[in-house]
This record gives sequence, structure tokens and C-alpha cells, in this order.
Amino acid sequence: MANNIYFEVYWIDNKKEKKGGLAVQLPQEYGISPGDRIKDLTDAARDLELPEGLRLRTEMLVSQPADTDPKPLSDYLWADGTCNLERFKRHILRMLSGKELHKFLPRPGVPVRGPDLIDREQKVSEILEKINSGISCHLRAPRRYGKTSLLTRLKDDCENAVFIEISDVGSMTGFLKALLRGAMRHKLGYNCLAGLKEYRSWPGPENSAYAETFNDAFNDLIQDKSVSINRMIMSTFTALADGGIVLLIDEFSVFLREMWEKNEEQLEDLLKILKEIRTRDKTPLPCIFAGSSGLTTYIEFYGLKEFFNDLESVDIPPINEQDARILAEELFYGMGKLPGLPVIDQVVTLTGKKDSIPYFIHALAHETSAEAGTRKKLRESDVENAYYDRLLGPPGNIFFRDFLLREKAYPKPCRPCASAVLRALSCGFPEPFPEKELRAIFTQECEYEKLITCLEEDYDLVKSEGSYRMRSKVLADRWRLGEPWLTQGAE
Amino acid sequence: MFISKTVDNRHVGMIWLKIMNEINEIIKQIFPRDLPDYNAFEDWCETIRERVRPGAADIVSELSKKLDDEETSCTKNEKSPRDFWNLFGDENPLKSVSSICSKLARDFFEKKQPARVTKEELEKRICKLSDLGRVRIVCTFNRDAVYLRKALFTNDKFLDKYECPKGIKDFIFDTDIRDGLKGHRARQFSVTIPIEHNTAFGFEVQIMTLLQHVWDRRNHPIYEWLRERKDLSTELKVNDFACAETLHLVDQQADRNWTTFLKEKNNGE
Repeated sequence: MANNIYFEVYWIDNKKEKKGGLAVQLPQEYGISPGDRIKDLTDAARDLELPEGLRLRTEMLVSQPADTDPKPLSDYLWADGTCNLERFKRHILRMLSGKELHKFLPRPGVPVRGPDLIDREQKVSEILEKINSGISCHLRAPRRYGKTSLLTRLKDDCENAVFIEISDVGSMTGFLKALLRGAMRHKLGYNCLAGLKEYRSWPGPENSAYAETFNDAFNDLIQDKSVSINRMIMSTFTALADGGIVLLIDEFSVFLREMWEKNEEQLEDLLKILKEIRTRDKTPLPCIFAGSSGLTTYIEFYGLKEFFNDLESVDIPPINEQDARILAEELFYGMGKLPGLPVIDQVVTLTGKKDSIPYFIHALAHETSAEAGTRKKLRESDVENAYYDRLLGPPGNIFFRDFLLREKAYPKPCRPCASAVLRALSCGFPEPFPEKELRAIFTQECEYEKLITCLEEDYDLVKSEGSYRMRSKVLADRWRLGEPWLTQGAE
Repeated sequence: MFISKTVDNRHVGMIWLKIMNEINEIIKQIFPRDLPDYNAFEDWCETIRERVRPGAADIVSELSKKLDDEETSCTKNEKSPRDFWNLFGDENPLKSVSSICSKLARDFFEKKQPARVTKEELEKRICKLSDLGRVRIVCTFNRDAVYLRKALFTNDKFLDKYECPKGIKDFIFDTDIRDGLKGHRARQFSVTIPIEHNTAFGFEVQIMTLLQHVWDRRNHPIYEWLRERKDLSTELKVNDFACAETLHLVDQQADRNWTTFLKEKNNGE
């Protein structure tokens, strides 16, 4: 077998010490000489601006470089056989900044971690700055925008952050349990709580049978009649705040809606305690509430403004087109596929050029790869088929579970109205729909303000200048084409 | 498969450090004014290496493929699978900047009349080096080397494509170029590889046996030492030369043994 040639780009400092590099293995190819590949890759590398004090060097080797793990050329090829030089440059820049190259894989519906989270660096810094100043925030974004991924990133970056998820909590006891489960599994959180006599004998985060012993300990606690749940919540918050903990609360708007429907009084008690601990002068407990964009409206709508007027809002926008393109590209390469520019264009066009939601890019990339099967080179038709037949068709139901009307806490009389509003907005997409006309759709049993707030949250509706529109192209398309499935039980 | 580099070059490195200081002094005297020091020369020289690299990559790739094809055909003829040849490119087939610099400095020094030249002139001289790129084909038997010498040329062109202006030098049997007590034994030639703007650069191909290669690799520090005009004892030089000649005889006998083996094998089948 003929030998491979290796092309290496590396950088040296003023002392001529090699500081890092990226090598590409050039195989024997029909019709394309390794020299042509080297020319392209060299020009691309020379196009980069290096940090001061570093100089770029290139080499061609006939044996594998000793200190660099070479990447196959296919990592930098488009489907038409030309070099994807932008990706090559991006990888050099990433390595220059001291980071490892990352293999992206589609994870629709699973919170992403580490380098999988893209286009959120600014938001992370913004929130960390607020946390460090003791400011609590409301992290606002519609469903599937990556709030949980962002919270997970904050948890990873901030060692004193305790994360709790409260989507299925509907009582004070449930809240206390979720809080303790999160805090007791956190090293610093556990140390803070171990000082309280009620928790002294509780299992620590290293305990192998943690889940079981935790449940037993919690049951013992709530069966003790002398223990008041409200008092326990307050003392738990206080111990955590004294220990410098930051509380990250996920799915807060779902919790708020649930509690408002079932335990309005208990909710007010909890919000009061939370406000008190957040705003106390000495060592407050900074909290990040992740909830939908509708949370602010809920707060006003339910008359809870006084409990949240200390919060600063941090909005998570859709990702920009540039990052959407990069994400799609990286996902395809991660799955061992070769995309082309038209394929990437198609993914971004179909998922919404201006307002791309990473979740749908993950979903479409995953389905496109499935559509192509074992074929490495992707075609535009793979993306189209994946979008219309898989994502928007019955096989795509799994990606829209969160958007089912029947699973929402919509009162039954409201569901036909909700369905009609969504139909109107999706049919007119991307044009906005005047609020006046929208109101006309509503029946008497259905309260306009309440339902539109819920829809705003659940279906990413955007209000501007007296009109509403759906922001997500995918949601609009799916609603328009697949409404019967989405409205099961609604009409 | 390429043979990986096995010689420890630390000793060579120490010699180089000393030599580089001398070279830097020469550079200051003779190189263009806009290349005032070694760093400036290095950056500039890297751009030349970048320009010639695609051509070097192509010839290595074509040669590698040709060697594979020839090996397939030879295996078929001999009906006895074995290793025929490998490419040895010392990892990097292009001369390093320090090596180029050293060669230029030696050339200037030998002319005794160091004169400052322009960048353009200097670039021409670099591209004219017969071994700006080099690769070695290491053969198992002498007969393989003899075979390749013919098989790699068509109409006097290497790989049917590259000009070989000075022909093939035979450091084994050509007494005119066998140099004193030097034990380097190879058939070698320099081809010209065209690059842009009607220019070309020199690329050297050496064909030698595995034993000759081993001698060469082991003796490289001695070669570097002598090249820098430093002397060694006559006894050492004679004994080392004798090693090379002995290996030559071993190669000849091994070749005969193999031919006999093939005959006996064919008769026995």
C-alpha cells in the first residue's frame, strides 16, 4: 500500500519552542495530488492572524508526527472533494487558544455540556458576573433554547453552585425534597447542611447507596410532626446562603404554574422566604431562575411582582446564523458525514435563518444522517427528506413531545382556542398576526391574557407592535403540517 | 512502509550548535541587508520551503505509488514474498532552514570571496541546491537497487516526468566519484521539480541497500564532523571505510545466495 503523507501546521514562540500544532494525514487520492492539498492548507493557515509572540510553521512529513495526533483529511473535506478550509482554520484557532478539538454529536433533548454549548460564552460571563455580585436573575428563554444546558455550564464553571430541577414539584414538601437532593449531592452544599441538627446523620454525596438512604432520611424528616416544612426550608436556605452557595433553579415557570393552580397559598409562602433570603444584607443567596420568557408575564398576571422585583432578566436569544452553520457542520462531521455548503445552507434555511434553535439543528442533523444511511457524502435532498418526511412527519413526533397541547396544563375549554391561535399564526408565518384579530378567535370561556401568556411561553410566540408571530420556523411548519398529532385531545 | 528514523541525533545537535554560531557570523557578512539576522533569514527561507513543498509532496507520493506497483510486479515474478524496498525520508524530505543555511555558508566559505547577494540571487541558489528535497529508497538486495535504477526511468525521465540533468551517480563502482576514505555507497541522482514562475528546485533520490543505509545512518555524526573540516585519526577513518567495504561484499554475497535460492526453489517445485 502506498504511503501517507502528513501535513503539519504548528506554532513556535520566540525561543523557537513548539507550542502546539495540527497535523493532517493526506492519503493517496485519485485525480488530486497531495501537493494541491498542501497548497490549499498552507494558504488557509497563512490567512490566520497569530497571537503576538507566536510564529506559524508548516511541514510535510513522510512518517507520522511524533507529538501530534494527525486528523484524517476527510475531517476537512466537503462532499464535493474540495477542502473545507474554514473548518481547518477554526480548528487551528481553537488549538491556538489552548483548547482541544471537540467532536460534536447530535443530542436533541439532552442538555449539552462543555464545548457542545455554542454561542453562549457572553451569556455565561454575564450571569457569572451577576452571581459574583450577589445579584439574582431570571434566565428567560422559550422551550428548547438551551436554558438547562446553560445552567449545567454554570454548575460546571461555578463550584459553589447547587442545581435543582423542579418541573414535577407541586408542593412545599416537594420543593424541600428537590432542594435537599440537589444540595446534599454537592460537596460544599452538604458541608453547609451537615451543621444543622436535622441533617447531621444524612448520607453524604460520596455514599454509594445515596438515593435510597436519602429517601429514607427525607421520609423520616417529614413524618416528624414537630418539624415545620416552612421552617426547614428557611433554615436550609440560610445554611446554604451562609456557606456561599448559589442556587440554580431549573423549570421555574412550570413549577410556578403548577403551584399557582394547586397550592396558591403555599406558593406565596415559599416566594416570600425565597425573596427574604435573596435580599438579606448579610450573605444573600443568589438564585438563577430558569424559566420561559412568559415567566415575567406570569408574575405580573398572578400578582406576584413584589416577590420578584429584585431579579434582573437575562434573555437567551436563538443562535445566530453563523453559529447555526458551524453547529450543523460540526454535527455532520461528528457523525462521520461529509456535508457540502448547499447542505449546510439547507439546514439553516429549513430551521430558520434568523432564529435558529440549537435543538432543531441537532434534530435535523440527526435525521439527515439517518436519511443518508451509510453514505458518507450528504446531499441537499437528504436534508429535505429528513425535514419534511422525518422531522415534520410522524417519525419526528419524538422531537415535539414538549409541544403537545394535551400535555399542557391548559384547561379543556381553552384548548380549541389555543389550537385556533396556533393555526392562524403558523399559516401566516412569518408574518405577524394582529392582536385584535387574534382576540376575535377567543371564546367567552377562555381568558385571552392567560392563554396567550401560556402560548407565548410554550410555543415561542413573539409580541411586537400589537401583533404576535411564531418565532420558530420549525414549530410553525410542524404545527401547520402536523397539527392533528399536536392537538390530540384538544378539539 | 517508511523506515522510521532511529539514529540519536543529540551528538549531531551539539556539533550544530557550535557550527551555527560560525554560520551566523558568515550570514552577517554575506547575506542581503534586508535579512539582517538568522531569524529574518529563517522566516524568509520558510516561505521558499512552503513554495517547493507541494512539488516535494507530489514526487514522494508518485514515487511511493510507483514503488508499490513495482513491488507487486516483482513479487509476482519471484513467487516468493519478501520485503523489496522502503522509502526513507528522514521524517521530513525537505532540507531544514538550518541545513540550508549551513550549506549556503559552506559554499560561500569555500569560494573564499564572500560577497553580499540579493534575495533573488539567494533564492535561486537555494532552489539550485541539488538536494533541497531528498528521499532514500532502501532496498533489501543489491539486485533490487539495480532493478529500480532502470524501472524508475522512462526515456531518461524519472517517473516518466522529471528531468534528471546530471544523470545517475554510482558511488559503488564509479571510481571517479568514490572519494578517498569515504564509505558512502549509493546510486543517486538529482531531479528538477518545476514550481511557479518558470523556476524549479532540486530533489535528490538515493538508492542503496539496507546494509549501506545502516552504515550511513550510524556514520552520520562522523560525516558531519568531517564535513565541517575537522579531522579524525587515520586508523579510525581506514577502519570505518573497511566496514563499508565489508558490508558491500556481504551485499554481493547475499545477492548471490538469493539468486541461488530462487533457482533451487524453482527446480524443487
